[in-house]
Amino acid sequence: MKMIVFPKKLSGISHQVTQQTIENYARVAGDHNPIHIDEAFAAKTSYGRTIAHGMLVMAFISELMTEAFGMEWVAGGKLRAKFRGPVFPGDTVTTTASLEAVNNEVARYAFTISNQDGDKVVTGLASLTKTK
Amino acid sequence: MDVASLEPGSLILCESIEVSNETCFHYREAVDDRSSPGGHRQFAHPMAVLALLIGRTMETIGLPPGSIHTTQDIEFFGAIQVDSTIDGTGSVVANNVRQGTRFLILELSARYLGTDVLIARSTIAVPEERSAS
Repeated sequence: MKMIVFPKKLSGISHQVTQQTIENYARVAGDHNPIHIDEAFAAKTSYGRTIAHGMLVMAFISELMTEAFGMEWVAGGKLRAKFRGPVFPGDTVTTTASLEAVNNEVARYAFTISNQDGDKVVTGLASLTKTK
Repeated sequence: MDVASLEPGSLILCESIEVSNETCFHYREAVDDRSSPGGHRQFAHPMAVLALLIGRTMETIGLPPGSIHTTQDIEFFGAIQVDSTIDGTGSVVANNVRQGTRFLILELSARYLGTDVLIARSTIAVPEERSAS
């Protein structure tokens, strides 16, 4: 049985999201919704311009957890995310997580993904089991 | 598909999906994933598998332009080897309209080697004026 150490805080990672990033994600995920890739269409929406896929932004928390816990995360993690605001091309978002609780061998981290202005764009909980 | 007519319990997706090394590589590139899960690159990232499942399900439904993701839950129970095939399913959990926006809740799952390895629930906000077209 392998014991996992749970840091109180997981240091933040930052990514700049560009229109090219969004288009690359659209291609690999097969999600070609024009709100992400068609500037003319997006200009007519309430956002006024294209926005990143929620799943693209959510990948950053999984990256943080993978970096911290490796296969323990990849083979047994759990995420609950709420998309609170748009991420626009050119935004830089930073992901941080802090240990909220360890109960019944399950560690729960509260995470936040914020843009360069400090606006929270995704928040949620990431959990994984203490022993495997 | 007519989004407005999707009933809870409707099975939207039931198909084998290839999780290729190439797809996993391009996924990591696309999301700029710099993590290194102990050198275990022979396993697919579960978020890549979920991205494939969501992409296929949305394509099957033909969601109208302007639909956006509002919440996402995902739980994974085992690693998936790259260059393998999963059995993916997607079904409707709920479909209702609140304040002019349709909220479609989908449950997605992946089975690998006969075992459930991923279960997810996605909430999609669909512009109501377009969802019935």
